[in-house]
Amino acid sequence: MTRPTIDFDHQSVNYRDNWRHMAADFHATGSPIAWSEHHDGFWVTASWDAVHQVASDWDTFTSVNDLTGTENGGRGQTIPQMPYRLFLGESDPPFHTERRRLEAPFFTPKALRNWGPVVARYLGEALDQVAAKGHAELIDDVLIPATARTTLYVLGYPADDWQDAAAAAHAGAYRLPDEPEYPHAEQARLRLGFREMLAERGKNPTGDIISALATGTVLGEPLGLDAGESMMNALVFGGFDTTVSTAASALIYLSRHPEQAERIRTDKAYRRNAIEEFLRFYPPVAGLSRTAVKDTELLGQPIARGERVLMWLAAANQDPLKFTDPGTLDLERENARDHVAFSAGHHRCLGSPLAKLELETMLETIFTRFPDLRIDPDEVVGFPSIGGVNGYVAVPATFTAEV
Amino acid sequence: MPKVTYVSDEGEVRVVDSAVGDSVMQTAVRNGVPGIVGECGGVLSCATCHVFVDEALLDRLPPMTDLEDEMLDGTVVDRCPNSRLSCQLKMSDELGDLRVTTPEAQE
Repeated sequence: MTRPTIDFDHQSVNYRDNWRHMAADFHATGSPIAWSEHHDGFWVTASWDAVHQVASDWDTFTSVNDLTGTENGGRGQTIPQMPYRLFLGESDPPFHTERRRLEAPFFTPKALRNWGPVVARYLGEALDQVAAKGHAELIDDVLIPATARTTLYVLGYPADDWQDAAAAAHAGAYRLPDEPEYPHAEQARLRLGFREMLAERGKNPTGDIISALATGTVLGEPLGLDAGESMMNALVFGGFDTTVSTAASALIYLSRHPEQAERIRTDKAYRRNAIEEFLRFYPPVAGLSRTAVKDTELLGQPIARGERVLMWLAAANQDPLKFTDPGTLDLERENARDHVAFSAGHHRCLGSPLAKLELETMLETIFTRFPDLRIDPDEVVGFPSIGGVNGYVAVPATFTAEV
Repeated sequence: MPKVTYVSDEGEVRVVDSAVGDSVMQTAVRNGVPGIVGECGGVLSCATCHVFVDEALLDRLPPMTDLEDEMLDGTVVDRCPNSRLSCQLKMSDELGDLRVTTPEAQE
């Protein structure tokens, strides 16, 4: 049997510029699963159903990043395989479940009630810095400081030390590890700081996430510094540019649709559904991968043990079998919240409620304080390449200055 | 086919046929029953499918795991002795019909 192939590289400029067309063409084949020869070869699927199947069946599709060759041969959640292991994201039950339960209490609906004022305060302070000027660079002046300080605060990290973390995360979000500009040194310094902080909170726990990681146990053993550092790393790097990317896309769209921006500002039910649709339509992450640990089938296509499958999340959000007229942004779409921008299954983004709270606060507050916000599309600069996130370098905006 | 009766916090009643093997959360989401969110899809990471189970039926339910117990501490409406996360209540012929009340809010 010849296997269907596709010229697909989610880290290419071609992907960045044409992914919506590529996704539509792939769905039009009627069987959106095919083999790509890039990055040592992998299957890619755009089917919403298949994404759920792969994400749920960890017994067949492992998340493990077996860097030492001592586990099940899994090659992790990203293609290409990363040399740094994510101990939470790149593990399976029961380890995954036990590690996740250390962080889960900080993202429950009850916990979110505490984070609301934090989100509002850091966003408000960022907006105060630009309000009198009448113009702002939304990424660097507003969205990154607000999300970075919020994430660090929730973690229990000194939130005013956000610049280093944000710089390392932002460049790391779009640079590829083999590019000279990749912030290797900054990330290493940050990780060293994480370890020191974990050691300190282990002695003097203060009730925050870092303390929970420092004192937590997994299957009766201490979580350990390596896993603790990795989990802090994932929270920091997962929490900034993802939210910033979708927020910026939404702001660019709404600045050109003032009637919808007005409803966003005043109608809570509309706003919350709109955020789901923005996530469906502008997902920050292209896709995540699994490795088959046994021979299996997906959409009728045989998958051999050891082969990787990329769940093309951005394209699953465009699956016409799931979303009517998927190429249209419809802020009142009934099933918008069925998107997989946060992935699915056991590894679905634990921070998703915080991300949605931040998005809601940003859209509501920005259009309340700057109702005439204008963004010139010609001035917007997207990421030059796509590492983990499809986002923006620069989104300059103008508005009537506050007096 | 077992039935689930959902009572809203304002007393509105919806009775839904449930497929065997589906959870009370999935049955609600598939049938558009308001009052249950199920953000995470049933993997015990979101605490948005909180229900109060009819006291008379409590003993018939499968016991609560430690993880469900921990997540119930995070629901936005405080838990009660008859609280469960409905993603953990799988419908079966043996279990039979269930009656649950949904809280005022899930998130």
